[in-house]
Amino acid sequence: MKYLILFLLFLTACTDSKFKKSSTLDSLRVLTIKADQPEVAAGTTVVLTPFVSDINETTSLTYSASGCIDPGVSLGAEPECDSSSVIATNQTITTLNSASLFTGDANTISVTIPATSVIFAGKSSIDQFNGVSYLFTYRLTNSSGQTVRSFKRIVVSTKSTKNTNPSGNSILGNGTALTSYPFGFSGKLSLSVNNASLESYQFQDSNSVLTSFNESLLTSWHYTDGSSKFLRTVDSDEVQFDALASSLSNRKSLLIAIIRDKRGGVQTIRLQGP
Amino acid sequence: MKHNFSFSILFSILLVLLCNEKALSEDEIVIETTVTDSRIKKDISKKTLEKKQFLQLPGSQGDPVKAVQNLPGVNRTNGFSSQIVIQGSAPQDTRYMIEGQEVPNVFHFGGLTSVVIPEAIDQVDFLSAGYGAQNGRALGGSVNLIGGLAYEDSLLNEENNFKKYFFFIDNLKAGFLYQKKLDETQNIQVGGRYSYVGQFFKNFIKNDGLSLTAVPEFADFSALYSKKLSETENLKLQFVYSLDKLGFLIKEIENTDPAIRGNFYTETSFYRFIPRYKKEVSDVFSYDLALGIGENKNLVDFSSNYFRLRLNMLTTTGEFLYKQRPDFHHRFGFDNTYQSGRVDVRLPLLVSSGGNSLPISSAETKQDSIIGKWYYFGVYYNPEYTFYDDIMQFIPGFRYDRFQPTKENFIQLRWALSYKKDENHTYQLKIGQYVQPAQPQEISQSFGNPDLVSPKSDHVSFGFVKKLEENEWTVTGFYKRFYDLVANSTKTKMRDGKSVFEIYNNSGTGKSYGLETMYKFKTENYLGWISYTLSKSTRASDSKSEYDFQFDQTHNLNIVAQREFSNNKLLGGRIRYVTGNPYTPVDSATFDTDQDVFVPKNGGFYSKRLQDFFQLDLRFDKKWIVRNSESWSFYIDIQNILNTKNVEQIRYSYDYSQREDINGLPILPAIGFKGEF
Repeated sequence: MKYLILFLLFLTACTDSKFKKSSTLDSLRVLTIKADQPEVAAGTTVVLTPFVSDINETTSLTYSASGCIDPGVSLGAEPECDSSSVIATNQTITTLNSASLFTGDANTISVTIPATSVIFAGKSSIDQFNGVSYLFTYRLTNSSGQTVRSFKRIVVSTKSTKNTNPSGNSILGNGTALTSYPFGFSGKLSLSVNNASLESYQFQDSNSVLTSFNESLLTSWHYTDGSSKFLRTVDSDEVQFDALASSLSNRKSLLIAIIRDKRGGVQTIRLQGP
Repeated sequence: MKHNFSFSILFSILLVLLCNEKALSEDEIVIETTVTDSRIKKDISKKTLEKKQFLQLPGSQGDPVKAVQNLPGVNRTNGFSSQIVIQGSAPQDTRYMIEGQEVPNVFHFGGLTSVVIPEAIDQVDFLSAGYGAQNGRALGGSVNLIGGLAYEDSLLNEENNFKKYFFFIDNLKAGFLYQKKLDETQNIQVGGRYSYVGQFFKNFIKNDGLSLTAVPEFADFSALYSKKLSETENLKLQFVYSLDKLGFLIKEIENTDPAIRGNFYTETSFYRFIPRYKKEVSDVFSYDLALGIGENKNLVDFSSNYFRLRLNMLTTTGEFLYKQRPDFHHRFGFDNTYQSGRVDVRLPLLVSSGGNSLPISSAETKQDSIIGKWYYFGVYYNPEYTFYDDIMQFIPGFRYDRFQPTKENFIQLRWALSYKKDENHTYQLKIGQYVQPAQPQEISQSFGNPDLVSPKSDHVSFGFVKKLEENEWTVTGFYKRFYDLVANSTKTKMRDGKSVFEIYNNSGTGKSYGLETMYKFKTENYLGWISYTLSKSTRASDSKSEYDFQFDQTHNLNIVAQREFSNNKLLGGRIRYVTGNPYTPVDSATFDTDQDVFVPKNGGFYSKRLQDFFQLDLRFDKKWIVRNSESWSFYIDIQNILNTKNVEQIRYSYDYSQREDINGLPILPAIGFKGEF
């Protein structure tokens, strides 16, 4: 572990600007997939809404999706489901178009989680309490033939209080709520955190001892134009953002915050300029 | 015993050897140093570096363990790790010891220097393929630091009031050592070092996104008391303490993995009190007993994750020698480790496949607290036969090990045969069976698979030593077969009636083989050696067909030379050339939408190689003798003087669509002074 830490130190110390930034929206991306219920009981039907982006697209985006019990992605298994688990194939996204820069909520997809007898088969009560993952995979393709792959894990547990999505948070620019892309802005972006939506949760260790934790929010900043010092912030931390001075003639500008509770819960905020 | 030891075929190859019986001078690499008489060799796979060699060896910065890297058969890991890879084994297959007592590490972090002040180390013993039954629990070999007095007895006299001391200071660290002769039978010595290497790091890190919260530092302290109790009894009491710590705050969340953020703190320390007692009871019976009593501490905190280990350690070693006849000796011994303590862990279950780790964010977090006692018990017997007028020696040794954590028992054969063709030629054949415990996390109920068995290996080694006047040529071929190695698994299995992921299984196999040679030369003014290893190391598992091992290095060349000039000046250099390590390219990646991180998909398993490694190091020493009791030294030791950009790792952009190389350490000079009084 000592060497891991040193290596992380080295990596972080040598951040190189030659790499493209994850915050810049200039290619085909899936930014997140939001489930109406990020944590559910077995047998529940979940509605999933991918949030995608491809500002260069002019025609249409298509998607394919599948769902299966997690094959062990966290242990190195490929995040893929077999062909018997297909939910949708080459479906056209109808919710997005050029006016929206092909960026925003895509068509929703419903998934029904297997029953207790299937998804919890052979699982210990500790595993059932902490949660078993149901894997949802989503493949997005644009008219140029580019494809990106993504996945989401829906937590299936026996907890009485289940995780919900963060909500009620908003974007602040120098402390003032922003409602559209802030042309000419140069200052501190931050999240106005709705503390009421921050949840506490429990984890059961191998001795069945329960430990409580409190959620914190990780915000990933994305934009079509401008630059930021950091790409992500935690809770209400601030980040320097320099927006485009004025609107572009050929397209709109976007500033997007993807807010995650790191347990599967997601909130998206999309600010668009004229 | 689950594995089949079928070695008979190996004995059909008769090889015999040639080993010279020349006197061992202070400044030579010796193939075998521990001798009981002029003929019998105790362990013919041991290489020893003595104090004079490692203190002035270029590129090792006066460090005994770094000097081991110049020996044949020693592979590099990478520039950020200090672990030693022996003949195609894994880094964790090397066991580290001080005075035969197991310790968690012998390097301070980053491999900057050993954990004991070099002058307080008499010699470093390095064991490789075919090592004897005295040692165990390591598939590769071991590194053992033997403590000793810095100054010879004759240098402590009335003129200096029977004491000598020195201090030194350079741009990375400072230290001291004090030795006093209490009387004709007793000596004491204390020494220690403190590093301000943190200042170096501070200058190195020019990043708004990161700040050091605890300057990286290391410190060590050692003490030695030796007493000759009688003509036949010796007592040595040693104490060793080592500390490394480092803390930093990552303000900018890492681009490729948002879990890498916040506070990081790591602290590693251990101490050992090591009494050692040797006694010659009679002309035919003697024994050597030692204890290691101490504690290992390891603390890692990052974000909401932690690993906190505190282990009480007791190690015991002993050997009894009975010379039944001049040509027939018996050695019995034991080698035990007892541990008790507590481990508290909350960590992501990190899985690395092909060297590409899953992002920490995407890994499942596990939490556990383990309180327990664990022991590893080992005994051995080495009968030593010498025959045919002392030209042949046969050691049909064996060793028994008991691993309490996995409730396993092992009997391992360790046989050695040597043939002395003449005074200048010795041939040697060694074969052995080896087993080592699986890593603690691998057999953990929470983080691994408690049903694992211990990994095993069989070794065969054959070689010769030829003395050519002042020079010496050694050639050794080795073959190692590995099985029951721990491999990653995503399969599920039933355990206690529940379906669980295996995480690990024992399907790993492998082999490594090669030829290593070393030519030592010595002239009036020059001293040095050339060591070269040609080797191949592969692995396989139930999910991967045979592939090049992560540390497979086809060519490994070390040239070390130094020249002595008049007026106590010494100039030395080292050239290292090593084939680049294999790595697994990333073909594509899938976005984990919950964690905002991409999960890499491997291409061909270890199908590509980093560029070859090359480094030139130089060292210059100058000593001024003011008077008999006072001298001053200046040294400059420059690692990588050509500032060669050696690629150590591959780094990827957040979505793995771009990549770039991470280079090893740039030119690193150490400039220092040393005063001796």
